Amino acid sequence: MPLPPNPSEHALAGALAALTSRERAVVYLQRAEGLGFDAIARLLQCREADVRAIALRAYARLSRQLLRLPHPEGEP
Amino acid sequence: MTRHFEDELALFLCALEPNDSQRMAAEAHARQCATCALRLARAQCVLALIDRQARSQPADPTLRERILSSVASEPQAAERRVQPRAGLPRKLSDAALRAWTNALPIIAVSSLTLAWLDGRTQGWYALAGLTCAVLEVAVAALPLTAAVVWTWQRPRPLTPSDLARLSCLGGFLGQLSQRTLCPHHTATAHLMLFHCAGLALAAATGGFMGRLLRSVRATS
Repeated sequence: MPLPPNPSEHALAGALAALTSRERAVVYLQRAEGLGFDAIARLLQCREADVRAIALRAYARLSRQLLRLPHPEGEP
Repeated sequence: MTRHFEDELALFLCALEPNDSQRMAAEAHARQCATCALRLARAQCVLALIDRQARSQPADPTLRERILSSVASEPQAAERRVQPRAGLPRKLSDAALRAWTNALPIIAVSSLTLAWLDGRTQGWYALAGLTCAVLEVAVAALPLTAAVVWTWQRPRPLTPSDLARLSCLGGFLGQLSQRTLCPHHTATAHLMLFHCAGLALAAATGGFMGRLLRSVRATS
């Protein structure tokens, strides 16, 4: 199965804009600033598990908009 | 991870630290599963695009303050989900607080209805009216202070809107007490202007207090 084409920068900007401000902040701090979940948790004054949950939700939402791959074997 | 993972998870897995156990397990699985390997490769490409886009934004020196102020006003669903339950009293008090803070429209309508029903004569009685409004704000300060003290150490503080509603409820209790304390409690104009305005003043005080507390928490 070949790799599908990458999403355009326009689509990426739209997907990032669709995140909540908290999700966008976590993605930005992690990817642009290079902070780990523990450092982000200290900055946002919450727990690392919460930051991890926010990141999971943010990347899942980005994936829903940017990534679509059928699984030929189906989910177990 | 010995099972396939979905597209939704692939991006998150790629964003984890290389030594994260969840990521290492996913990569171990992907070495034996071509489809999941493809998902990871695709996610890695998208992540590189995100990195490029995120880093192309100009650095803003006030970013930290803006992030803190924006996240402080947003409901922390994830926090609520993972927070351990603190027992029945805590759950009951949370439910009571929610009920109180959702009662603003009812309180406002009740206040106007009360003034309309009580009003039988005319007159402004402006000087006494100022005392009435101040007394309502003073009564409103009681639940407001209690809420601020109760939630000060909580991870999620009450929002300015919550405090405005609580304060408004206190103002309404003050208005009820004015039915016996105020010597002009039968004058429609006096009731409509000063007794109802006291309520609005109490709500505004609560909202202002909420904003003040939020900025104090963000900077402390």
